[in-house]
Amino acid sequence: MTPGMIGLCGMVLLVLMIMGRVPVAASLGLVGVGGYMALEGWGKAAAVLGSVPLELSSAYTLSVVPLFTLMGALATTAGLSADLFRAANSIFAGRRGSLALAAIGASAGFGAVCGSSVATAATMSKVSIPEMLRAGYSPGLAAGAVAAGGTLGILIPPSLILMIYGIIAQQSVIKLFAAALIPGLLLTAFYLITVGVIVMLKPGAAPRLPDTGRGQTRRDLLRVWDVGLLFLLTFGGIYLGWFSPTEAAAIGAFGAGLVGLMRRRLPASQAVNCFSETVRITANLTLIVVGSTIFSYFVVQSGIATSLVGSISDLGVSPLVVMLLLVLLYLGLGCFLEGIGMVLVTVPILLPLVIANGFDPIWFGVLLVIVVEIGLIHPPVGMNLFVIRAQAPMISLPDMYRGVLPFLVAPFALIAVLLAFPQVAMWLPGLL
Amino acid sequence: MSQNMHSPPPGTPSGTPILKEVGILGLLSRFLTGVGALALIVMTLWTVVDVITRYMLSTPLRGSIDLVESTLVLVVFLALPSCFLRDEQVTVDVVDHIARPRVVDGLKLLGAFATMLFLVLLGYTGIQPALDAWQFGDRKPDLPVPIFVLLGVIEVAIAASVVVLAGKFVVQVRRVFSRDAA
Repeated sequence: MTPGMIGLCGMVLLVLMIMGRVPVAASLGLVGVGGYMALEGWGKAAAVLGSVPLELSSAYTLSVVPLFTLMGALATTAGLSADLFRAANSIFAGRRGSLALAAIGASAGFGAVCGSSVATAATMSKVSIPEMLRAGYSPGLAAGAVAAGGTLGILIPPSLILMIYGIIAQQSVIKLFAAALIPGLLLTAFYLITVGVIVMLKPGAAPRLPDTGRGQTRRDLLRVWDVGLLFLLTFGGIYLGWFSPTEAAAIGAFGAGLVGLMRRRLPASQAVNCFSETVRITANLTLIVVGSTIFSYFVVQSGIATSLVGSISDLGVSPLVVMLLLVLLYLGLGCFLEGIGMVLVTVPILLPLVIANGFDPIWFGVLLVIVVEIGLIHPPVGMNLFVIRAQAPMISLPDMYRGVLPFLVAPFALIAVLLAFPQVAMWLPGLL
Repeated sequence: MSQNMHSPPPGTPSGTPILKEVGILGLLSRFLTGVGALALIVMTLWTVVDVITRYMLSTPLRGSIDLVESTLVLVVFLALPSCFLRDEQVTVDVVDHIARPRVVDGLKLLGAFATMLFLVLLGYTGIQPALDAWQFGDRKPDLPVPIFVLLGVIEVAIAASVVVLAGKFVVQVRRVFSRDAA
């Protein structure tokens, strides 16, 4: 059997195992080691398998993952989302749809201290959905705004998926964060516009609420000064060259803990839970990264990625078509695969194709996150919708699906913007 | 759809019923997770103190990178048994909606077996590098942390994970058979 055939068999087996309920980490690892063994023999496969765990787990760059995750966990537990929602609500107060606008604005703010979409959606739904329903908002709009806003958690830095992508694609996490910042803000603006359009077409979906007044706005904004400072210190510090990403993440985590203590919202038991939860998330992620690394050695050795690049070049299709096909592929995969799993399974195979077609891997990382975001809110699955359903069982799933549909236009519009103007993502990293 | 690895929504009960059924394994995994959490606290505080001393006293702490790298090994591996006990691995469960419960049970057992196999291979192939590191006395460059200790931690975490998975496997098999009997 040729190496290419072994590679192809490996891919088929991987898909079968993943769809057959074998955990993604074990699927990647077993196919990787089995394929490597078929190509190079047990001796070399054992050497690779034996060296990967320590190489990965003691890599300084990986330390940003637990530290930024801890920052998000502490921020969530400290209830920063409620204050952010109140502050955002003060800004939009008096406009029709102010609470939905506030939910999206607060999600963007929370995304700046939390790198998880699901955590952002979960915490924001608890804070904002009951208030929207009390004010007579349509359940669909309430759920749609929170689900869409939640996706900002993984685009606005720090982003867990971007960190994992950076490790697996060997790209600078700082540049990835910088590249995601402007698209993250743009997507926030697109979501806000979506709410504006919805309430313009269906005024009954969001009754106008009274303005809170300038004094109240000032007070509410002042209440979140520490969250703003935390973001500025953490990311400003990275971009100004004061801290390495690991140091910034440690300062961010420490700062989030401090904010929680200052607000007396971080009892010892909850803080302990944050640390335990963080190490579990990190352990889970690392095992998948270990599996994915072994799998990518196999992919390289089998030459299947190179063959794929050659075959696509032979077809003579333009890079734009290649990228559109990749977006379609990811949208399809998003129906079944969780975001991080999707990134880790596909990046070793597809990144060479992306680079060969002249796309920057940093730019592609941002695009990948946006496509993953779509997977988080699009039917038939949409992880964020399930999370919101757990928090707000009074909203039916069909209502949620209907409510989220208009918000799907925004990420597609952002993809179009990124394809037409790659500088939207590449300008900021270019300054570093 | 798949399991998610992010923060569970506030108010979600932690752990699964199976956690109670495998009590001693639950204690073991909680202990290891606790050590991992402690390592994370050390990593965070050490890094913050390093930054502060670097900027305020112009004297960075010696061996900071080594300490972060060493504690990271504890952070990323010691919570693995807990993850397995709580079924927190990323799994695509689309088949659950289309297959019969018996088939799903069978696939779950197969998944657990495949994970065990992967971990056994990972643990087995890690023994030789650990022995080599012991024999040649490999250490971190700035802090006197022997590499074999770090590799030993990985081996302990993997071994504990295999034990946890095996325990769960037995419990699941027993459940399937008792349900069939009922």
